[in-house]
Amino acid sequence: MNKHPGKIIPIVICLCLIFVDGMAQTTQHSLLLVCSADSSLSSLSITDARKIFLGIPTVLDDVRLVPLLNTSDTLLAEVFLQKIIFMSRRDYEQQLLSRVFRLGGKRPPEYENISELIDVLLNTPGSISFMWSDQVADHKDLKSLRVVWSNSNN
Amino acid sequence: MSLKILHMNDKANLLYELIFLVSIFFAPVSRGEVSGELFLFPKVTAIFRSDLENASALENDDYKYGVDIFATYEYRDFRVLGEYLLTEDGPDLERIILGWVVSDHTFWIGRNHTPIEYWNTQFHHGSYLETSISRPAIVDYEHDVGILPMHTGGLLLEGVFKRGEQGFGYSWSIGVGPEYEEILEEWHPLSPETGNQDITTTLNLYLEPVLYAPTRYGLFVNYTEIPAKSRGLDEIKQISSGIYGNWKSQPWRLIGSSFFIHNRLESSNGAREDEFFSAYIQAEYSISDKWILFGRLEASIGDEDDAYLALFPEFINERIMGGIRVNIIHHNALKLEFSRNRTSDDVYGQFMLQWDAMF
Repeated sequence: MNKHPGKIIPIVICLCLIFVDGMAQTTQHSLLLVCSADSSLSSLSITDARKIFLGIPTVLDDVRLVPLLNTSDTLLAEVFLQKIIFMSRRDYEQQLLSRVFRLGGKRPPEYENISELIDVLLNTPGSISFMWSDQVADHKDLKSLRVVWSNSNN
Repeated sequence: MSLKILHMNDKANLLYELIFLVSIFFAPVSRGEVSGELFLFPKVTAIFRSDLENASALENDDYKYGVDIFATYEYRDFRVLGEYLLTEDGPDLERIILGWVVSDHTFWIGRNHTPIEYWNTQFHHGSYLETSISRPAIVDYEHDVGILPMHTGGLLLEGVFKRGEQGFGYSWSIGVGPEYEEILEEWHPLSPETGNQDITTTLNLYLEPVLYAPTRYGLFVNYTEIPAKSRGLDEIKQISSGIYGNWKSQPWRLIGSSFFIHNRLESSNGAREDEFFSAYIQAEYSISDKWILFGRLEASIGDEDDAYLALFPEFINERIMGGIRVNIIHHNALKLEFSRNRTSDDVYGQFMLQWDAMF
């Protein structure tokens, strides 16, 4: 029997804290701009990301960029709109409509199915999208161009 | 039937319809590197007026309906845009342009909207994109008793220069503008032999504090020579200039513009020069994504004895307006608008109700 239970309690608390911290580490969320690992792109600025997702033609490193909207997760889409586009969803839709109506071009296609999105991302040269870091970690043929947001530094 | 339709022959009409039927079937289809979009903007509007003068040219009740058909194609660095408006007055080709995109700059050729101030280059005929039902009178289209050249047939160069997070944009257009024949008559690309249009050129410079974001401040200047066929006039030389802004910070949006307009009316008896000032400001408040309140003030100074404005007796010199927009379901909206309006010979109230949508 332990004769000094008072000494064990702090140890248990420390172990709990380490465990909780470990849990927090494993559930850390980051929103990443991503492209195919085969792409020649190595990074993408926030301004360029805003530009292509507003439907403005953009060529970087001789590659014409193709935006693909990831609508598989409501929170993901909301964070993307806040951190990249600086607009609400309705304003963004209106802005896309208005821009195409004024200048032509095409609105970015939306993908609700993540598998379909990844398939298009891997098979369309110059395509760019955004995902949670854990989704990217599951696919070695994708690479991150920029961390847009992280729940550890928000 | 609008006066423009009288100018078009049957072959031109048929050609218009063929172009747009082809657009309708092919624009939304992506084939290889060719992709496109097709938008339809239908609308139905009921207008009720009160306190009209007995001799007023306006009706107490008026009903308008129509659909704006927009199609665009993109192939590598080239774009084609067409906008065809079908209304109770008949069909009208509003825009048909070919564009070449080079980095952040685009070179357009065809019939386009003149880059005068903000409103005229943002909403075109897609009323669903406008929060309000009415446009400010100073930027009304030529066939709606507008007094400025809202369409240009010719060249347009536009683009933006980046500087950090800011953008400095420009638009410069040169081409043919309208002629005056009781109303301003724009140039039509498929019946260029009609009319007697002359030069119009416009420069518009603006600042975007956050590049590609909605907020924008700018200035513009336009010079137009308007051949005249009525009221004993030979030609009107017009210079309009001003400043504008579109500011947005949820839940508010403000759109405003001011115009200084100088006209020289030339006839065989000599010339008369006049100038006036006009401005508007529209405020919008989003209660939610569904409900938006809006109001607008429009005013003119120096308009009472202006010889050019006397050519447009239905032009609204002053207006106070308020309304509400309800986004009922996806891309469908209902709008209500109340206003008090003053023209050169009428002061009247107006209630408007509109359904519009985008498909």
